[in-house]
Amino acid sequence: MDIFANLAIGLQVAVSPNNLLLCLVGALVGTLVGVLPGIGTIATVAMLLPVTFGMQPTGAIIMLAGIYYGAQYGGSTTSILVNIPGEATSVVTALDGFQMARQGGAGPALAIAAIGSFFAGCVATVLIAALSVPLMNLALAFGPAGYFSLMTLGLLLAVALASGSVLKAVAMIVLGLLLATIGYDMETNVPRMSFGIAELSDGLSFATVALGLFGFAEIIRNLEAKTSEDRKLVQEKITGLMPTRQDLRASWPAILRGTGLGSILGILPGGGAVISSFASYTLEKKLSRHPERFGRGAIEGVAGPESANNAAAQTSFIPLLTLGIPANAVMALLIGAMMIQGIVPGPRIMQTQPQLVWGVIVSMWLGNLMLLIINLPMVGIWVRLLRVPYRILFPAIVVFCAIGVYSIGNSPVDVLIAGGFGLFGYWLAKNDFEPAPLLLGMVLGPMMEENLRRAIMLSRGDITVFVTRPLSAALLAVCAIALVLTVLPAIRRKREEVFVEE
Amino acid sequence: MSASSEQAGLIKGPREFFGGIVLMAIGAGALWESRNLPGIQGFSLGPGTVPTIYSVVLLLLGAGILAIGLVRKGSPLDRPSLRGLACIAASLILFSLCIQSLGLILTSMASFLTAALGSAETRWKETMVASVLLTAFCCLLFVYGLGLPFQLLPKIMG
Repeated sequence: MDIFANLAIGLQVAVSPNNLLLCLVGALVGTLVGVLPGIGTIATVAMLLPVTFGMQPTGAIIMLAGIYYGAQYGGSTTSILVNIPGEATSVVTALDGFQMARQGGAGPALAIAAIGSFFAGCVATVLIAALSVPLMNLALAFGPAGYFSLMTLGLLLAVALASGSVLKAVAMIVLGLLLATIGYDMETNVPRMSFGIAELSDGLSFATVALGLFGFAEIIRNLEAKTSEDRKLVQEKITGLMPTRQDLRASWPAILRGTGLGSILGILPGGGAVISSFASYTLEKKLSRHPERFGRGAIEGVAGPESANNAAAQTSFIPLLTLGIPANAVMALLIGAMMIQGIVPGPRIMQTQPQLVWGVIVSMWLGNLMLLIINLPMVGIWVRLLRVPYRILFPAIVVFCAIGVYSIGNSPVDVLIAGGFGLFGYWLAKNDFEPAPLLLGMVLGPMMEENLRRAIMLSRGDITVFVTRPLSAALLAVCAIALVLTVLPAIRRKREEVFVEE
Repeated sequence: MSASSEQAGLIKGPREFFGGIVLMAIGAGALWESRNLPGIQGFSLGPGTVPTIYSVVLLLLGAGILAIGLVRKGSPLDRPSLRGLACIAASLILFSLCIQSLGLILTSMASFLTAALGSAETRWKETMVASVLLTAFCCLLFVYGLGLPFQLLPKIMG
């Protein structure tokens, strides 16, 4: 099968009325979430997870994916117009975008952000289509031992590249792995780790935990932040959307570099949209002949990061679709969504579910096209939505999440469990622990255990199989190197720099 | 977690110190829970092997984080804001108690209003309107859109 045949399959799936509609819904919800500060992408995908359980798997993933990349578009709008980044990924966009808006250049800034995002989205889609098959073939060579090591590497890299303490993040992963063991053992059907609580005997629902850790915890945190309601808009009317020729000339190289940088960082575990937008801003500033313009309305400072975050948001689907390994928390949620639909993620997913994989890939391109239309001419509508105050939004989110959790298994106790994880998530945030690695650990837990046990069974109880098989040994060696590197002081300082860069 | 323990000088990073303790407690609890599960049998790992390994690793990592809290200076503990926390918790408890007897409509409105107590900025007139709108939206989405078998009205009436 060549790439065009695959894309043709995908196109057929993606343009079905149902999937087109879901793609549009995803893009709209994503933009909305991106625009509204205080509601993150992870929380939204978690919120909508229960809603997708009754849908066709392909449509469900198409919609959830749309939320993720749609949020990258929406986030830039508020960054530019009101200096409030709707998403962490557009924090840097606010630096120069808002300055441009103050100087009357809101239109071109918005246009460049959208055009850059669209260009990056197109490139990333092609990249996904081109890289998927070779990567899948590579992944198929993995035995249980190799696959176990690959997942270990994925988890560790996700931690090594993220911000914050490595030790704490590793502890969060292990806690996630431990949570995944609750319920019946897959092989022997022995009930385990439920502490005698009947509701836990079937295991913790992934969606319940995610909603608690990201949905409820985020709300509790926002409530204490005392958001004052001074969301003043820079200007009522945005005049002249079209960027000038000079704007375009200044932005093209930045868009290209941002796209490249974002595409690479998106594929890496733990990369994704946030780090690539920061990295791109830093890069543009370093390369610029007039770095002093940055922070005062340099259009490259909008073009680069906005292209980078969108490219990364999309290429982070590559490890998910080819290897079944989530690069970040949103991808972990998507894996969770697939598993609940009865789809086993992993290297074989492209062979067993070509419709799903290629349908999602093509839908991304369509979704980007929709987003361009949603965001540019309709920008005024989104800005008006900013006036919806958080004091109305948050009870609505609480109730919506509660209904969602309840709908998973018609069990009131699940709502309490989610609430418990909400409190736990709040505590984690208060003590500088990140919940995302926990989610990654929890979603990979069952697969890791299965592969670990199969590998040991196949090697007749020989644990050394993980270091004697060349593929597995190489992966574990990379794990070790990654761990050593993160604790080296020089690298640690660099990591902090990337995140502190203003 | 009083201020005096931070000033004593023993605990330099209270977030790490107490975080480590909590993780160790979870690890110890999990280890205890996995004690009776069958372990390695012949060539294969039993259902208890992996949970036991994870528990031990979590215990060790917790100890490591605790140790960092003793050595490296960290941020002080942050006082939790109880109002938001309590109202969200109350809203969820109310929801789980009422959903099966009172039905979706009353429960969602009651939970909405309870959660709204969590913010000092809440204005009651708009909150009432919003709770009605959200309830209508959720009924449409979950019951009619997704076809989930929710009970809408209290049991006696439905």
